[in-house]
Amino acid sequence: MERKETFRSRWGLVLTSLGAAIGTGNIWRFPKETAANGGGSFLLPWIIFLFIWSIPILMVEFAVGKKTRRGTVGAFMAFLGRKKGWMGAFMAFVSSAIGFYYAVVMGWVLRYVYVALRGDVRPGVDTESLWFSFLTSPLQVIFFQILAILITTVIVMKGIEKGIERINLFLIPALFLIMIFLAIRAVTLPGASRGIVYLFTPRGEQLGEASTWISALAQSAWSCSAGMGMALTYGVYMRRKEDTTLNAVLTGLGNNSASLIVGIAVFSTVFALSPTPAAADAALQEGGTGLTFIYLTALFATMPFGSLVAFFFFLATAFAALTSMLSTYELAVRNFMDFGLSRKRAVLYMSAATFLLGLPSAAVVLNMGGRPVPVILENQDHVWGLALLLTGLMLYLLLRSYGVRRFRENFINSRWSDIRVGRWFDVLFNYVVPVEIAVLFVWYFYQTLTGPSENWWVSGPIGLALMLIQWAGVIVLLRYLVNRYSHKIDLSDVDVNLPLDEEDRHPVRLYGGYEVHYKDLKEV
Amino acid sequence: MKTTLVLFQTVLLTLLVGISSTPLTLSAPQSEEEEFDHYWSYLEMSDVLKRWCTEHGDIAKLVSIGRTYEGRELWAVKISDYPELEDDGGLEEEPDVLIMGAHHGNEWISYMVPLYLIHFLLHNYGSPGVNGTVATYLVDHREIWFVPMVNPDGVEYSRQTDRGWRKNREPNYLSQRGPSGEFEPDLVPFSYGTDLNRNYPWHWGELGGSDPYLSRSPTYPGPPDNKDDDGDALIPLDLWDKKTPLGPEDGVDEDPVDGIDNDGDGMVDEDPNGGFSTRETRAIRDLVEANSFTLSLSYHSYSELVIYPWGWTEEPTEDDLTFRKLAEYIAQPMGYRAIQGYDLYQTDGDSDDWLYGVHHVFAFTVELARSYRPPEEEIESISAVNLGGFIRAVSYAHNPYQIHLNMSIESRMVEDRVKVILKVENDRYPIPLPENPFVLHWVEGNARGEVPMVADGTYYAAEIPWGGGEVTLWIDGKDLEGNPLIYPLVGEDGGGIAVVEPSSISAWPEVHFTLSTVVAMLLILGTVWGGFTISLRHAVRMEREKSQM
Repeated sequence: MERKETFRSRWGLVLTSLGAAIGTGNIWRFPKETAANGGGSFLLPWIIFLFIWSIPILMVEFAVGKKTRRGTVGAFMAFLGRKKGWMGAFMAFVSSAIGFYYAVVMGWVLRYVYVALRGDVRPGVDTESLWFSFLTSPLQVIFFQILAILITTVIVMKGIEKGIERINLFLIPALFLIMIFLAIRAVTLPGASRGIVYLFTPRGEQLGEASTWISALAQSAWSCSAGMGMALTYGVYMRRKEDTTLNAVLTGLGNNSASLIVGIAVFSTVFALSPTPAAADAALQEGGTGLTFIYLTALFATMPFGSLVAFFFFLATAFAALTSMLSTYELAVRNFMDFGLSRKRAVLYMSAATFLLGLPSAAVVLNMGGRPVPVILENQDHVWGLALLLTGLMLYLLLRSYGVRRFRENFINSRWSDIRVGRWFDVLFNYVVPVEIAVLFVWYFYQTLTGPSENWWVSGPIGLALMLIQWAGVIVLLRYLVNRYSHKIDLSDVDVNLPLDEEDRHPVRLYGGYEVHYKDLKEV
Repeated sequence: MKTTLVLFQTVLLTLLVGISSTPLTLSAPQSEEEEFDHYWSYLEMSDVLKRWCTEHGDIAKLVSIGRTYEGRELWAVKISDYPELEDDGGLEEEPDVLIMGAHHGNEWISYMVPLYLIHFLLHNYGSPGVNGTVATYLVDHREIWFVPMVNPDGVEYSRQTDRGWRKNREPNYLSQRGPSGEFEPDLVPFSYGTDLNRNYPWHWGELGGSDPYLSRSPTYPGPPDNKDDDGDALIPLDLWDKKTPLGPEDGVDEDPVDGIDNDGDGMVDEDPNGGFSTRETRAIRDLVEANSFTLSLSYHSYSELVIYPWGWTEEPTEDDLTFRKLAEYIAQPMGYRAIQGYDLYQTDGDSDDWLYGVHHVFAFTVELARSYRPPEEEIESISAVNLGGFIRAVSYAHNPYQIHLNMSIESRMVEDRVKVILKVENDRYPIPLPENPFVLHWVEGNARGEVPMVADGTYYAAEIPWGGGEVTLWIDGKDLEGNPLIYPLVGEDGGGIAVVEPSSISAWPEVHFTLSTVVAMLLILGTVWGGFTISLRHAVRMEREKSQM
């Protein structure tokens, strides 16, 4: 019998899922959003949404993966019928598309690890021209993109246990240790208390504003990548005895813990080292690459042992990027494997695609308003980042069509669950989550349509039309492809009417019609 | 302590200290056509100066202050607002500054630097940014005279014929007693040139060497002045046959320029024994006498030094402390060393001694670079570095003694108010401060106001309301004589140039850990980190149980 891949231990699963959840978003987006929405008054709703959005959705993802033992395509086919496989394929495509440009982003970070290692983060360095000159030399960017792809390829090629799990077991604890070290270093800077106070002080008036709550929901949703199908994919490799609920809680809380550590480090550094409040504000408002590569790098340069601090900061960012990169890869690879490809071939296809389709993101840098802007990358980031709206909706449809309560009883609460999930789960998914999804949709379209005019038409890289066209094109293409090749996916051993506990007790058809009792399966 | 001290930092302060300590970060002048990548010829310089002064006629005036022996114009550029008017026609008293270059023909870098400085002022005047702010202030509130090439004949001779040529090119003739018994010059020059920087009359010629037979020396100070300038019928000893003077044996024939009435006739320094024998130094003399310079920089090369008087004696000047502090302050951005001239080597008749001795100008010699003619690619960087020293020097021209005023501004938040504290320390200030000389101006958004700063113990203080935004502060001060006390450049710690013009000061709001902050922090961290820890412990326990099943 084919030896099935699983995680060797629970900690491997948890750390790998954390690796998928923790990405550059925790480092780039979290400080910016927190600053823009008033510190403490943003963090409180942000925590609430962790519990009423991210963690429950992670639970669903884990459970679907564990139940079906299939990638996103197979999972949607098993639950919604073969005709709906394209939804899973869309999830897979979204994740891969993110991976295409994410390799470029990871390359940037690797470049800065090297820059810091070389000792170039020193007083007086013009970080803006350092960044822009790198960004505008395609050969360098592509070199580091290839480096990022090579690292990812080697790890994913080795499979779950020997590759992804093993590397995450090292990287995620290391990431936490480095971030804690950076936070301590930052907090001990004179003036750091300004940042801490800013980060945590709740501002009553902002707590009452809708935009604060919506931003908190958005940050919570995007940061954990709940609804993207990554937890689902890692759920496939859960051991039979594995719990799904507590692991979802651990992933969600772990991700937010990391965000807070990073937040403390970044806020303290920015507030302690910026000459004026306006400068600190500008750095945080910039967010993203500007915050990291221009402002923080400049601030690191002014502190004692700044080069070392910068090195560790970029190293941690590189770890965060790599572990997220691994999850986007694995999501696609799992689906290819369900279609019958070997892991090796699947990974090689993925790498080739990531390189070729990532090239425009790496190489096309246009001068916009006097600054070089990687327009294709920004467009892709926008288009596929926002596709979470759709993938989350698809996952929700899966859950609703199966029945929330039935899903909970059959798959969430199994004998291996460490926490029993009560009826609140049904209420949450029947009433609260649909509202949340609706709010995210309405808020996004409202913002886009009332924003600057260029946003909602093709002209800008983050135009609405450009996004919808890409979504629609991809969906049409995928529907055709998945229906054409759907027979290649073997679902004979998946019976969604059978609760997880029943699987333990009853023999089911397994692997091409052979009936095997689950108890007879050896844990690997 | 409830109130946390928060240091106000002026943006300008930071930037200017930044400039003066790392001047290389100043953007080099945007030279479209002017290239500081080679040593300019005299003609090239003349063309450029004419063009500049035409283009920037509102702030620059080009005049010829004389002609050299070989007929070249001695160009002087006056840079100021209303350059045609002295002190803006009486509207504003502006201190005069003299910047000279290339007293010596072989010291090429020493005329490129003043040209660069002219370029900096002209091209940055009125533009935004730090360069613009500095240039605009200096142009608006100073009258800066540049004589970039005091010795064009020497420079051209050095360029074309003899690289090492130092002096000017006026021939020196030996005199012979002619048939009439009078001394007549030879028909053939014995040698060429006088060292212009030995030709100023203060304690002139005391080191000897003025004998025309010694005129081939590169430091030939020019011939002695044997004329009876004061009409006392006494002339010096005949140099040739050592005959006694015409007058009484015991008479003191000369009254050389040294501030002492040597001949006891009640007039001081009226019968110089030498100096000003060259057209170039006389042109400088006329320029100095027509203006009232308070400070001057004379560029030379090389040694990386900032030199202050005296050069003729090891005795310190009366203003030695002020000179030393200023020289060190000027030298700091370039990383040069400040020394008294005599300590380098003894000189007589150099420009600094005369400017200070006769006109009480705070005169400095800046010995640039590490060679007479650094490689051409270094011209721009050497010049840019020296911008720092130049700005510092010129910004003190209104009253060099203010180098002794150490001013620092800080602020603290008092609820919704900002308390601004100005500390003024004076280690040797000849003009006492009036009781409350400072006025604090502030602008925040649309709100503005001014408050007198009241002496409060050892400092001056005032409070202004603070709405939470960025506050722009500037401070006006006057001494007892009504002179402005402080100027818009703020020196480094206790350094001493100071602020008056608008400068942006933004407050770091004082932070406290209020109850709500602490509660929110504990709640947030407790939920997330605490929740993570509890979940982790639960997971560990469950995992142990499962492994035992």
